[in-house]
Order: sequence, then structure tokens, then C-alpha cells
Amino acid sequence: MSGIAFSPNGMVMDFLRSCYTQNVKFVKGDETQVTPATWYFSKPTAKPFPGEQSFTSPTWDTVHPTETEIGFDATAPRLWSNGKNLNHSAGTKFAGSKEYFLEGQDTISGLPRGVNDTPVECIAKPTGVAIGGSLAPIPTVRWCDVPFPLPIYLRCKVTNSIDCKYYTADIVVKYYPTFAGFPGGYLGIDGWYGTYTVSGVTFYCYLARYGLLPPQHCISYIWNGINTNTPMIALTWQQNPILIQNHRDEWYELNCLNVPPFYFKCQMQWTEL
Amino acid sequence: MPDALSKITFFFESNGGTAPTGWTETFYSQNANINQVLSQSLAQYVGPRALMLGVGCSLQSIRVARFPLERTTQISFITGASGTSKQYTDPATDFYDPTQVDLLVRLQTDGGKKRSLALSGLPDKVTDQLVQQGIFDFFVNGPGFKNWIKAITSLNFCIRYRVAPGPSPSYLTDVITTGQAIMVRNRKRGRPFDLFRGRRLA
Repeated sequence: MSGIAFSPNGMVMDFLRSCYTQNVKFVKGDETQVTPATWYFSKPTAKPFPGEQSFTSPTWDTVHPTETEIGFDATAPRLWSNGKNLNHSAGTKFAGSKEYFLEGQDTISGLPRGVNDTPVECIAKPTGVAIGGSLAPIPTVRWCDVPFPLPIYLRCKVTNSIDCKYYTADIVVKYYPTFAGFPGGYLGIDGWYGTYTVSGVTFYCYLARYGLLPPQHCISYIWNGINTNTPMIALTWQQNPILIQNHRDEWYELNCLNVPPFYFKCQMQWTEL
Repeated sequence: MPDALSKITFFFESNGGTAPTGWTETFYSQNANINQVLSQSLAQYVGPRALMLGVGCSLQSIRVARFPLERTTQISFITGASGTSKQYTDPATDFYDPTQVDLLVRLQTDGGKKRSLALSGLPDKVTDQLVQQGIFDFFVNGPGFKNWIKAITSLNFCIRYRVAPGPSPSYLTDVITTGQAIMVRNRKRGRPFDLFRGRRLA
């Protein structure tokens, strides 16, 4: 499948009794470019390909052979296949542009593939899951360590990677640890700044604490620029994700003595809509 | 009328123990928007057809292909159409008849074109009679059968007929306007009995 920039990756493309291998034409306007493609039985979890596509089986043609510009070459020989799955995909997402499935790709360009020939973008999260043409949410969790107590303006950088196809830039986030209520409140974070270019994504975030010493060793804290000089006794840690909707100018600063560095553990969970 | 612009194939499946049986029912349409044809079929046809099925068989999926090349296709699964509820007089416990007895239906156009359709998967109560002896009144007069015919005509499903022979045959289509149940009839499926799969002699 080298040179093909799209893959159904286990999604249901057609209904067949038996499986086979046959050449397909996959480049728009160039019928000379062919490569063998193999039918195999989909998993019970597989979804039908969401939309029109031209890579169905010539078995269903009324006139044999029916020659087409894109898709399976009905004049090419068929080689029987036992229908064994070619990868471990659940068959819920495809790889590559959706237009390629209908019109073919523009040029020969490969698709990054991993184990068992599975497209890389279908292996890792988050990526689109197609169910009837819509995207199903996939919660994705990333962890990053936030040094504490200083600096105040903590930064966390989530490096964009190839598996985040919908994230086109590095996500640089400044965390402002804040008290939304003290002492009975919770410790949240606000202020999601950065150069992320994400639309339709909901961010959830909460802080968890781990380290050598708890913050009650700190002698004071500043909340929104107000020094309360109140020793920190306890922190109520937010256990449930906080929906970060809008930036709030809340922040706090700890003035700690002889406290070795410890860390907040920031869990970011986002749901791709 | 011009040739068909899309072909709609409905896939049925019935429980057959270790070897479940299945069949398809095909119609044609003069609508080239296969996505629209698919959604309309799901909305208007699947329900009436599934309501006529006996317990044990189901309408599984739809495949709509765009003519003339038939390769641009969209498919969809059907969920919740197990055929366990029926609108007419049969009780819900009435199983479909797996004994290769179907209902012969004649579909007709205003131009006089006819097509015979073997309607499979009907409840045993409908097909439990001598073959070629007509059909029970409760079925043809019930809302189930009428709703099915109404769905076919409202969706402008067509009969496709050949007007010139091959090797490149040409076809025309006419919209189905009426449907009539003719009789219960045997319909042999599968491999002929005299061509059994046995050990071949070298």
C-alpha cells in the first residue's frame, strides 16, 4: 500500500461473501498508477465509511467488467484471500482525506504507517472517529509536570506530535494556580494562554499534588495580589475536572521557606468534538 | 424515462443456525444524489419493510450505488429493525417462514412495465397455505402491505428494463406506481440439490 495517502483502516466499505486481492486505481487522472488492495472481513465494532466513496467491489457491478477511473480495476485478476484482518484496527476511523476515497489522491504520497501497516494517525489519540459522518469524542489525557512554587507564571508546553492531527501548533499554556475559594474551596487553574489553534475542543483540567512536602510549610500566600499572611493549612484539592471556559485573572503565590522543590501534576484532558 | 441514476440494495439476514441465510432486494431510482436516496430509504422504506418481517430475520443494511458506473457508493447499517413488531394481525411471536416459500408481488408502472418480486421473510401465518392458491385477505388488506407499497411509490422507486441488447446494453426506467400481491410460491434458494457438494473423484 505504499504510495497511497488514505486508508479505510478497517471501516466497512462494501458487503462481500468472500475476500480477494485486486489492483486499485488511486490517483486522480492517472489510471496507470495501480496497487494491490485486499478485502478482509471487518470487526464487529467496525462502522460503515461515512459518505460516498468509490472503492467498492466490482462484484456488485451490473455489467462486467465495468471500467472506472478510480477504484478497483475490474479487468485485473483477483487473488483469493482468507479475509484475515490486516491490522488491529477497530474499524471506526479512516486515515487520509475523505475526498481521496471518492476522487482519488492528487499525487503519489505515502501515509505514515506503524505496526501491521496501520496508519499512524489511526494508532494514537486523538484523531477522528467516524460514525455516520460525525466525530465521536475521544477523551485524551496528557500529563505534564509543573514546577512549584516558583515561578508564578508556570508554563506547560505540550508538544504537538503527529498523532494530534487536529492540533496544528504547539500548545503553550500558562498556568495560574488559583484559589477559587479558601480554605473550603478548591485549587484550580485558570488562564489558558497560548498559541493553540483549536476549535471545537473542550479543555478540562485539574491539579493534583505530589512531591516531598505539602504546601502547609509555606508561611503565606498571595491571592489576586493580596497578601493575606495566612498560613496555609490545608488545601482542598479538586478531584473532578474543572471546565476551563474563560480566562479569569486569578492567581496565587506561595511564599515558602526551606521548601525543596515539589511539583504539581497537571492533568489535561480534552475531548475532541 | 431515462436510465436509472442510482441502485438501492437492501440486505436481509435470517438466523439459520450455523449458516445464517440472507438475501437482497433491489430497486432503482432516478435520483443521482445517493446520499439523499440513502437517507430517504432509511426514513421511509426501512420501517414499513421491517414491519412485514417475521421474527428471526432482519433488514441489516443498505447499499446505494450511483449509475452509470455503480462504483460510487454509500452504505449504511440499520439498527433496531429486527422485524419483531408488525402492524397487521400477526402476533409478535410469529416466526418467519424459512422453508423457501415467498410471496410473489407484482410491481407495475403506468407504462405497463411489470416486475415480479419474491417477498421473503414473511411470518409463517402469511405463507402457511398451499402454494399458488392466492393470498390471505388479512395480509393484502392490512396496513403493513399497503404501507410497504406506499413507501415504494412515494420514494419513486423504479423498474429498470433493457431496451437494447449487449454487449453494451441500454436500459430505461419507469417509476413504480402500483403493487399487487399475487400468490404464495416456492422459491428455491442456494445450490441445486442435484449439484451437491461432495467429494470429487480424481
